[in-house]
Amino acid sequence: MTSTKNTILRMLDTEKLNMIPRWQFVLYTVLGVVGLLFSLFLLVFIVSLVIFILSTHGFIFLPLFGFGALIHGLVAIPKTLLLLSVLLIIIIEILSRKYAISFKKPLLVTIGGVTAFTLCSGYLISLTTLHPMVRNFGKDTRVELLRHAYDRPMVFENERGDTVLRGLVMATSSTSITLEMYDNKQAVVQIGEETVYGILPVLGDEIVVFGTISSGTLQAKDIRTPRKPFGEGKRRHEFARFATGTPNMANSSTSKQHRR
Amino acid sequence: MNDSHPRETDEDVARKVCSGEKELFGELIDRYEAKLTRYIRKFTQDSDDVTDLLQSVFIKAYTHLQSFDQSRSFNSWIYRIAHNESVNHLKKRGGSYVTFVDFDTFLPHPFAKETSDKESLSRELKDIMDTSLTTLSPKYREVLVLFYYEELSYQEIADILHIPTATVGVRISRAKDTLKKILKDKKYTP
Repeated sequence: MTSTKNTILRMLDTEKLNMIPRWQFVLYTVLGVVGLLFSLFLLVFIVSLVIFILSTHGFIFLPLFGFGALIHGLVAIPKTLLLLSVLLIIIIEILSRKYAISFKKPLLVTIGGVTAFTLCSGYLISLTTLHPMVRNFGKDTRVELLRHAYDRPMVFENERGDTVLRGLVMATSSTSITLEMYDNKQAVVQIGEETVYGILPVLGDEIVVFGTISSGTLQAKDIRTPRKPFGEGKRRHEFARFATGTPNMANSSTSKQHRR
Repeated sequence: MNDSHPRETDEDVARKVCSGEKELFGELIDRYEAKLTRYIRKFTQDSDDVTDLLQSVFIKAYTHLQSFDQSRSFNSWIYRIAHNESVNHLKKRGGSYVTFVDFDTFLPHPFAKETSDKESLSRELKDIMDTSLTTLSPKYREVLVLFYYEELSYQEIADILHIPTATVGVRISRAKDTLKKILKDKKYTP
């Protein structure tokens, strides 16, 4: 008998060596799985929150207005939420590395998979009523963290004064559109011959306006709808009439509740 | 004399030890002591360290035996323990096993087919490898040892080291290239 075997068997006989009970390993596994799932759900919630915030401010449509606008949109992503998302991805990678399904794939593939899953799920969740409900809960209960997360002011404005707004059409005229935004604030957007229309806005429509602030007024360059962000090109001939001063559309005291 | 009782698998013995037949753990020590000693020697040459590490491996294997999934390979499981203990030993001695981000496991690699050249590895070449292995970094040394000396498959090595199977092939390939240069310097021709 070798010395190693001798030592080990002696420890077993004198009960200096004992097996850790199975329930402890089961508990560690359960805690690990719970931690992993919790981190994943939290990550999906945070990503959906970011998408929701960018969407309500119209920032999510910035890529339609060019590469420069896209960069500004990326910079506008809330930094705290972004850092938290990265931290959660790292936690998920660490917790999942003990399972063959994770460690047998290259790190780039697993990170890419988690990111893709999170973006898809986050986008789908951002379309539901979850965030409006959480936001209203924050307003009703005055939970500062929620109010700060949902109602933080976000303004995109570059050196040329370009900006983007999203809101409901409350009133229209031959030269302007009045929008009511998500925080019940109103903005008046000037329209002109240079304005490009992806949609002919009517009362109650939800639109996204990309424009330039000049002398304190917002001049619309491009108007689109979130439902069809790439526009309805066939109606362009109607838009020209709209821009050159056709009879006013009647203001309405009622508005469709398309609020998100 | 015919042996009418087929030898029990390692997994069956482990299951019996878990159910209370702790004296059967000696059987597992008999089966793995030589292999694990040979494996640990590739990390450290000091005999006292080898003995201590070997004991740590078996102690850890016994205390954690209830965590062993009996549907999996006991061989891979105990080698994983030996790997972890050896890496911890290297870290304590100030050696580094892998960098914080190991690019071998970060990027996907084309699937590396397992070669059959381990059968053709001559004794003389193995002797030369023995002396040259210490010049390799531990992460390349380990895969060569597991593949050529312990004769494990890429899949088993991947399970032990917790790395992708393709990465095992990449590391073996790089280790062999480095050894070829060493052999060339030593003017060895097979």
